[in-house]
Amino acid sequence: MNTPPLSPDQEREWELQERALRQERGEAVAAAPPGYRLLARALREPLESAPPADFAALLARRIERAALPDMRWERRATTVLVAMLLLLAALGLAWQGQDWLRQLLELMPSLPRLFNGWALLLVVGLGVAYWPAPLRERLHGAEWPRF
Amino acid sequence: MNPDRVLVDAVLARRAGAFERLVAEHQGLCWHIIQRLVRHPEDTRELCQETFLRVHQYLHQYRYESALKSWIGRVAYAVALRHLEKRQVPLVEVEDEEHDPLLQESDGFDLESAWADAQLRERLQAAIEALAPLPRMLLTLYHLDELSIPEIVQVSGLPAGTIKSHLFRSRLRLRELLQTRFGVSA
Repeated sequence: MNTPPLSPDQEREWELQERALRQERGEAVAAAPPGYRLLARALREPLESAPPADFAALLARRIERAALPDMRWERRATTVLVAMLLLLAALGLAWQGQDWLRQLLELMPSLPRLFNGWALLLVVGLGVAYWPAPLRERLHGAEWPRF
Repeated sequence: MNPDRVLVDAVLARRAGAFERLVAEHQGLCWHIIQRLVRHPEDTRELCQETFLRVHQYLHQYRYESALKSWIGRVAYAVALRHLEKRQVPLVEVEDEEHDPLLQESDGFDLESAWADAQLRERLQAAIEALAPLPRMLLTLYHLDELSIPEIVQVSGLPAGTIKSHLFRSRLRLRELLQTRFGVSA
């Protein structure tokens, strides 16, 4: 949505518009064209509609009513539990993984060719590339909310 | 300490009255952005509510990289924009590039008597209302809310040059209307 810069003539007109704006704000500037001053004055007029007087109070009450319990503790507990689960899984794999793998390979003789190391590397790569966006945001932060 | 940080910390800590204070401080700007884009009063109220619900939901993501009012303004702008997109309302008009004459300064124009003319003011407000949503909002943020162009960049995400161009052309067009349609020698 980029637009070309104003021409020198347009820049001069822009300066007149800005001078009118500043004059209407009470700043001491050279006199601006009255048409632009009239316009600047009209543009400073309050809008016809405004938030209702109790808008903030009603909204705050609505938020309080709908407020969910603070889930931060639960999120931390979930993270710890998932980490423990992964650790136990890793230990289990290290302890009995050779047996499981051997039994699995016996069941499916074609698997060794598939899992020759490179396929596993590909799976890990894809996992890292497409890991969940919320996790990425948690690590890198996000300035603007997503909608 | 940065007042934005004090307020945000208070809201995140769920202190009594903190969120109400946040809404009260920023509802004016939010209302202006949404009202100028969508115009419909009931939609404005609903979208303003939606904005603050989202602000409450995502406030923990605010990183103080911009003023809180710009961040909230950005949320309001995004909410209103999505509403317009759903209704397929164009943000800007297709402009006739040839139709952009620069105006001459005039003599004999009495600003105060023109301002006292209620009918003229009404017609001028109607002409402002008749602008496309985006320039109408930009004019209000710049003139009424006194946001600078860099602040409007943070709210809208538009390039500064685009904002300046919209402001320039809208004001030129309105002044031209004063002369041609309203018969004011301005």
